[in-house]
Amino acid sequence: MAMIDVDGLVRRFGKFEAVRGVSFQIEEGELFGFLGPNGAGKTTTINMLVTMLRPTEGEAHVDGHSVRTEARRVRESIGIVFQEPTVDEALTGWENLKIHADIYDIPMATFRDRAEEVLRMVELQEWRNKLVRNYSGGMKRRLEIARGMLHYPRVLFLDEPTLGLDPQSRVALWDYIREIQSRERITVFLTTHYMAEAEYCDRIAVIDNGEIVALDTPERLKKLVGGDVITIRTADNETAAKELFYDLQVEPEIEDGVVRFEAPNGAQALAQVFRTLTPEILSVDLHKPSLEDVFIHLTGRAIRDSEATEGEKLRSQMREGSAFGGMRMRRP
Amino acid sequence: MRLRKEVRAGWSLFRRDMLKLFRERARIISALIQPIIFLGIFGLGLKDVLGGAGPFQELDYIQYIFPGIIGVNVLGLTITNGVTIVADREFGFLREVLVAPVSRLTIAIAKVCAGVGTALVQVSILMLLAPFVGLTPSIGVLVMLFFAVALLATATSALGVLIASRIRSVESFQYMFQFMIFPLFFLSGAFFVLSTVPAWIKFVANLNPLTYAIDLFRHILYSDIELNEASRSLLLVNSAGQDVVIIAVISGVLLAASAFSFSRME
Repeated sequence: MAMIDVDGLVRRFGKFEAVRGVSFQIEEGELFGFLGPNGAGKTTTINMLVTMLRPTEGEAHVDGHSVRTEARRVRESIGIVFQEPTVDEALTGWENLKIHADIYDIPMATFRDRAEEVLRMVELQEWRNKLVRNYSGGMKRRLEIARGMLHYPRVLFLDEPTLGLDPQSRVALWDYIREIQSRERITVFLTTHYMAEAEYCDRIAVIDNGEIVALDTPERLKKLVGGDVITIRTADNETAAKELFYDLQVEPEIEDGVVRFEAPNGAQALAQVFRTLTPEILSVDLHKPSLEDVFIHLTGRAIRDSEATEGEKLRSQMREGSAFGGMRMRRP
Repeated sequence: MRLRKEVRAGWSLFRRDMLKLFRERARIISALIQPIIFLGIFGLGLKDVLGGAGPFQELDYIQYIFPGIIGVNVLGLTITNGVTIVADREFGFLREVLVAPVSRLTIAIAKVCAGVGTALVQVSILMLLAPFVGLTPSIGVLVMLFFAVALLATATSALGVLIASRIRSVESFQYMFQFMIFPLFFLSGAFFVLSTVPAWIKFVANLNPLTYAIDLFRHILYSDIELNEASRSLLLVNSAGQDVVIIAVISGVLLAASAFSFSRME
């Protein structure tokens, strides 16, 4: 049986449908990524899976327990790292772990060794007796991950684990996540809106406007894009796009002052571009498709565009209809 | 065993609040400043105005308001204790607790216990001032006083949790706090003898739970002071038994309401 089994999950806030019937299965030991712009429904989905939010429709099972009727069992088998920090800054790292051990009922004999172990995993042993107030943003996040792992969860949920961290801490955090995942053989479910980070996942679900638009391994998702991605900047992008459409039989899009199109064989297409295009070419770029290209391919727009427009709107609605008060949406 | 798990979780949350109380000593000290000011201004200032009239021929006015100040202090401190829930929500820690396999009831009870604990710590310190106003309670009296304080603190801590579960931000809590604390405060018999005030003030004071708590504190603190019957009946409004029953009922109601409201909180 799948570790996480989601079947037709829907969540409405008033009239607004934040999650519109998503279904997927995650196998034990998988590192599964939920990728989409802010406001796409990632956090709402996670909140339903961790039993903080009741689904309007549909059902989900985590480790074989229903999120509707067996909330306590679900809670016992998961660890969660929220988007916003939830450690008590007025306490030390160790004290935070101790409270966690108490509310998850970890036997005292186990606690000491386990706490040492998780602190070692995130390299915070030396900071254990310092007040969390004095930790950096990356250290706080690491402490939360350590805490989430303390009670040997079967599934670890990470909601935007790298949000608000500097690039260095982000890379380090991914190393920790992958090490923990391989060492403890747990299932990891994470959300992110950073395309590059989704590459680390075994499988990715691309979510947009509350619906899953694609679900596969990063490699296979990239194959959805027809070969290579070419972007060119010309003196007259309109004309260039028209010529590409008629002469090369590709489907160009103009955005941010460049013409972008996909071609099965990029190098060949590029040669043709130089031969046939009449407007002066100012610059060209040819690359293998990234997940960013996959998102554009699937939704017809860049992930940052969808954030600026719908993201803002959705978030303000979510704030009003928020299922629990502390849920503030923050962006870096 | 469900119960054992809940007790362990509740104890841990209670300990967290106590730990933070002792770590942030400024909170204890600042909570002492107000009573000292009241003792100074009202106690020493009004003492001369009231002269040695009526019951105050036997009892110093400052001794009269001392139990009132304990009551007011406990009220303020324990309702503010409710704010820590709102703050925990703002700073995120509440989520860690709410998503854990722990019942909401446990979380609410732990918070009320922390309120009672805070009140007892505070009153212990306040009682250090007692000898300066001429009150030297015996151990037995102190024990009874602590029971009475715990009873009041249960009611007011539960009120704090009730308010906190209905309110979104620390600011709105503070606004509401100011709004409710002064009427409770001045219409409680903390500063004037209720036997001698106009009927309408007496009526309002009788609706105020704090009135009964302060009356009970007086019963306890004056128990080893020589007072004639006339003064005693002027200074004390109800019998100690009546006070205990009324506060206990109010505590029970507020406890149930706060537990219900906190469990339903989204």
